[in-house]
Amino acid sequence: MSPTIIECKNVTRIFNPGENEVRALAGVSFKIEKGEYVSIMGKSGSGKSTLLNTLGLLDNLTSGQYILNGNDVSNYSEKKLTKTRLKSFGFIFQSFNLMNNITCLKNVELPMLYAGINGQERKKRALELMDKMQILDQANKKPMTLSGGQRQRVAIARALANSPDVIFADEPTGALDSTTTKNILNLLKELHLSGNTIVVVTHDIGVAKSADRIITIKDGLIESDVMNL
Amino acid sequence: MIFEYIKLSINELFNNKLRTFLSLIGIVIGVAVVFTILSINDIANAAISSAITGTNGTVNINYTSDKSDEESNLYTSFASSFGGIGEVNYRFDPDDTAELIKIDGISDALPHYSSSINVSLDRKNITMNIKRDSENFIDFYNLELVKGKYIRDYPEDKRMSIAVVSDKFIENSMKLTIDEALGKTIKLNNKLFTIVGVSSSNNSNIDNIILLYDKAYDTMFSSGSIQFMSIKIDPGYDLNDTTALAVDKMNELHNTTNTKDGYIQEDLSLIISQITSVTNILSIVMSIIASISLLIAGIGVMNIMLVSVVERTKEIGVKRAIGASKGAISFQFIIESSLLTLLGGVIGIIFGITVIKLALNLLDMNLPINISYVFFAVIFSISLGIIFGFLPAKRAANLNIIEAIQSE
Repeated sequence: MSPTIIECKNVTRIFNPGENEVRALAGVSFKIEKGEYVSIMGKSGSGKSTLLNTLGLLDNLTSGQYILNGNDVSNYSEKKLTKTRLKSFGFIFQSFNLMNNITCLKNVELPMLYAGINGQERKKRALELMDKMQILDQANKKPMTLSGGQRQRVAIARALANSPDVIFADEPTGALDSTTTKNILNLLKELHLSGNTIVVVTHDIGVAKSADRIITIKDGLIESDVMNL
Repeated sequence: MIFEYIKLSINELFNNKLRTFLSLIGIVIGVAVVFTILSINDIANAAISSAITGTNGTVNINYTSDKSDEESNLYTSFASSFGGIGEVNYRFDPDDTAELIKIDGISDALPHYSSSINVSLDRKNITMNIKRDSENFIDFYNLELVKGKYIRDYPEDKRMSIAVVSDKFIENSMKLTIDEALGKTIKLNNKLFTIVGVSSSNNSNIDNIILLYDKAYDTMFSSGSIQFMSIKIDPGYDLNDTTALAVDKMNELHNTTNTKDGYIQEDLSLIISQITSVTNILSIVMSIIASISLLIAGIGVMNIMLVSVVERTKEIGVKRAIGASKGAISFQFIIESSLLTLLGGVIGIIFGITVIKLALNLLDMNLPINISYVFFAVIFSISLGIIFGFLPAKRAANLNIIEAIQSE
């Protein structure tokens, strides 16, 4: 059995505690092992985005425990959270969220810049990743001149920059047509097969089914957690 | 690493050219004024020291109608320095020199003849002070002949229609080079004089002159045009003490010891204090202008950076999500505002240097630009960016990540 990367123990996230409180996560417990490809599915308002934000350490949990690589990160300081996001996580967003006034290459280099890696090494690794994503010829273009699929490939390359333990993808194909969606899902599959741990959040059953395991969220609780092999 | 952040910032500033330009104006004015203030003091000091060293051991003794009145003395001093304009009744006798030389410590004395006259140049007429040559004139002032010959190098019969002029006169009034001027004629009182020599001096008595042979001068102007008496003090003797003896002697010779009128030492310290008081007022006024424009400019920079933070909220959120620390975000904004003010500062320095160079040209002075002021102005503008960029940078760093990513 592979080691556990993520473990949630009765995690809750409550907004506006008091009269109008919203229990976005009402007590969620699960484990994700190294190398797994998991999709978290749910309708809008189900709490899946809150779960992703919590898992990605962008948001604090209200109660419960979040154990990452054996460390309880529930009460990490701001500095440690930032460092964990930088070193352990890669993020892929629905709207790509690339910096539009710098080149694609510089976009991929950005997380390495924050990690303090020197310029030559940054460039070398960024070019390798872009080659792997088959967008090497777009390296010196600005993101706006690329197609949606190409931009998402740049974003994936950026997510891989610091060799993360987990890649979080939030509706990664939400802004893409069906052909491109297929390509990107194949790409995620390949990344999974080469050993990456991937967590995809989606409302689209088609996207969810490309993963090996589907966790369904409803009203802030896990409704089902099934293998999809 | 810092270099990469700087590149990112330059990129950002270039993406907003108009905004960058607008926020620069105040900084440019402010830094230009600060730079000018710093340099003005230097110019004033140089002017003062050249006024002092230029005299080279010579002191002028003036005649005044009221020797106890400082104000009128100052006026007399000024008037004589700038060529004796106004109703000053000169009372000097060429024979006074013989008595003055007898005083211990005075090596030489020279009556300073000077008369205003219309000089016809090619296209215009100007008023100039004509000076009278004498046997000891050249030695007295250590007058340097930069080109040509001296009047007394010519035989007696040639001397009546030749002149030695100063380099300043050639360059400023004739608008010629020294080489071109030699051999040219100038018309004084409808009489033509050929320029045979060019002189140069730092002494304000003789730095801008037309010098004529004494007999030629005497045929043109009546006697009694001695403007003041110059004495030369031996090195080793106290300038003021020795001059006081000379002043006493003059009062004695002309029976003015117990009258209101009499003789006084041309007081450089009065001129100097006059110069410093003018530059002090100038410095204060300019400091106020600089402070106001820098404060407004700084607030402008802060405002623009705050707008920039709002506009780039999403970008900041994404950067934070992918691992940028708060420090990295605020560093980025601080670098950006510092670059902005540095750019303004550099343009301001260029403006400042231009203003100073123009002023030096007008004052006919040559003073190198002080590099330490350039350095100071650069550091100053960068600090301005850091100070006024601090608040926007802090705001950017403290944005809520999730809200920032979701903003459009």
